[in-house]
Amino acid sequence: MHPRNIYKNPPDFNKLRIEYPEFAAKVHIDVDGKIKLNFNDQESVRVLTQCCLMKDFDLKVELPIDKLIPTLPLRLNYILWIEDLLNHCSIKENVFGIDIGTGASCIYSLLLIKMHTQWKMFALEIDKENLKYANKNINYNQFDEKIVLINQEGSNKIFENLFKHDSNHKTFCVCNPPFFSSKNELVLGSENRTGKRKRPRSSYKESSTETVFTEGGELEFVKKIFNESLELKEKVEIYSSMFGCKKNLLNFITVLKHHDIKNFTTTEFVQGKTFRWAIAWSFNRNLLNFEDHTSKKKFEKKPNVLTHTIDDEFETTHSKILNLLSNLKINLKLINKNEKDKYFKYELEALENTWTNQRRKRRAGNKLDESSTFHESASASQEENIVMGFEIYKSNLKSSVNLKIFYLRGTMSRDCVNQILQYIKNNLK
Amino acid sequence: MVYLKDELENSPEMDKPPKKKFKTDKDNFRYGNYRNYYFKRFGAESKTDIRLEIMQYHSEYFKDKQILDIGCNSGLVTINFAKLLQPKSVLAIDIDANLIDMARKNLQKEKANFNLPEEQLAALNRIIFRKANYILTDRTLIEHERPQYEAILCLSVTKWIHLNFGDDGIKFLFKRIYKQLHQNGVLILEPQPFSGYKKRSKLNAEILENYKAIKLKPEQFEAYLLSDEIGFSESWCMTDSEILEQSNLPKGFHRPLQVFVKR
Repeated sequence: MHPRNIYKNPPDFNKLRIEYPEFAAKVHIDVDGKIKLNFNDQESVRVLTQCCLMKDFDLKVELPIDKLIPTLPLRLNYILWIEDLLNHCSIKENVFGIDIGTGASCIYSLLLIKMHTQWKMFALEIDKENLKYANKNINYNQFDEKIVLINQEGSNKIFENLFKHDSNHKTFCVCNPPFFSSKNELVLGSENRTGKRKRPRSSYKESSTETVFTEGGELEFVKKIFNESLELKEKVEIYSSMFGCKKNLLNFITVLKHHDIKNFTTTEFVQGKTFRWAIAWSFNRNLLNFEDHTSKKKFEKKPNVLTHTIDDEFETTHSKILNLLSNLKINLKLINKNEKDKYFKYELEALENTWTNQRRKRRAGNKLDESSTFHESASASQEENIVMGFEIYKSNLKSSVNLKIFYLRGTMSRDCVNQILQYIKNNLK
Repeated sequence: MVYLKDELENSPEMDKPPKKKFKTDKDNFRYGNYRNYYFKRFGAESKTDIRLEIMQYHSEYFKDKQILDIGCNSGLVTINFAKLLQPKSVLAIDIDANLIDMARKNLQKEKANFNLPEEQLAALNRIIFRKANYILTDRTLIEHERPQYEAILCLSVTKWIHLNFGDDGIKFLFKRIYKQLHQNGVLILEPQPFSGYKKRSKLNAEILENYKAIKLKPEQFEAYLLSDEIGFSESWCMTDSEILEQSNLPKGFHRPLQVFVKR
């Protein structure tokens, strides 16, 4: 969470419930008296968002129930990052912002104007219904002078209508692209490494128009902004967009590099368990030069070496660990050894995950023994393996043993490395 | 500086220690959160709790139902309850975090039993133990309470709630229970008689004060629960006095199980 984000600490539900009866109607009390809100319920989230906007920003916002409910902590993180960028380039006056796809809530524009009354925003929207609500929300808060709503209906280009309306240079653009490329992606969730990630706890529902809008997903959408930016160049000082999926960001970076655009920067927005990413690029090198400190390295995969120290005799620990590993049916291959310095290096190969859910397996095993109908365990049928490097050596200083374990190759999830180390830790006690 | 022995003995501060008014060492158990409660209750040889036997006769109230167990102690009754009566879910709470720890350990032990039938293991997996004080500090929160349980067990805890939180606390208990029950939901209440209050009233000053101020005696609970202030529609006694006579329970534990129905 951004250090200036007021939602670093979650909103005080008790205060909200006392102040806003509509919020009070949505909360429920857990057995210990904690006030809870069902984040899976679209209506509850909507009311919470409205009450927070009212309480913390004095903004009266109408959010239609069938449209995307904007999550405030994320929007604020994005806005604060934009503030940081503008600070970095010492832009303080004559700020003109573009809000691409402002949505029914018009949230970015409203918040930005509320926080910077001198700025001016251009809010772009294509959906009729959204336009209606956005207009209402601008009216409610008397921002008609500050926020210009641009109707994108029938337009294929993103910036065309805007510059027709007002040809002056603009300072920045923000964009919260429609994250999902298909209903499937929305329902099933994006792929994840282990396949074990739980469904998000919060509700995520976008209206059908928003889903149609997303053909090709966010990557295609941001590419479109990028392609237009190649023509407009410095007409907009800083282009930026959010990404809902890191893979898309990485793909987008390759697109930028392909066009030899090096003047960009990226960031990561962390709100609880939800991660989002954003990128900003610029053609004005005098104003903004990211080339020196582009965070390219951040995205390169480091070899992940896990280490652990055990305060015990080398010989006993060594033999205990070898024993544990052979119990797990892990093949050991000695690669290197130095008896004098007490250093051993092994390659571990596992063909089957034998180290997780031990208790469940024991139970199942017992049941099977009783009936003795099965012979093979089901998990062995899949063709999986993992090869890890494993080093064990005596520490120089104390009478302790150092372990190093790292992934080398194989089809099994890399989490296995961690799991095996944990297994060793647990079973050495 | 060296004191002479005489000086020491005569110094006013060193007079006899002041007489303890309250058994402060027992303050740890001010909620009846005794560690060996079930041992005392059942004796050394563990057998089925008589209350569970009684409840088994009326399993329709519990099977596949959502249950709240208030004051679960170390969870033994809760665990056996789940095994025997197959509820849909049990949330069992106690004010004492250590007891909840014990309850969780007991549950783990029980689950580790390989010979446990599959459906009993499944029932055990539907138990959640949580440390919680049912008598909320912020009493206004009760207005957000919604029906969520089909049966609420409140077995031998009213005395402790009464002594610690007074009439106000006991009324809050009943109000909250009523609000949390679905229509046709039941409260299973096992209140301790007032005669047992006195013995525990001197645990500390607060409890003594509460004890002295008690107006709503346990004998009046039934009438109070059925009154408009709470709203239960009917009540009956689940316990057959004959069963109690036959059991070898210590006399102090001859308490009836009362059922209150919300219509």
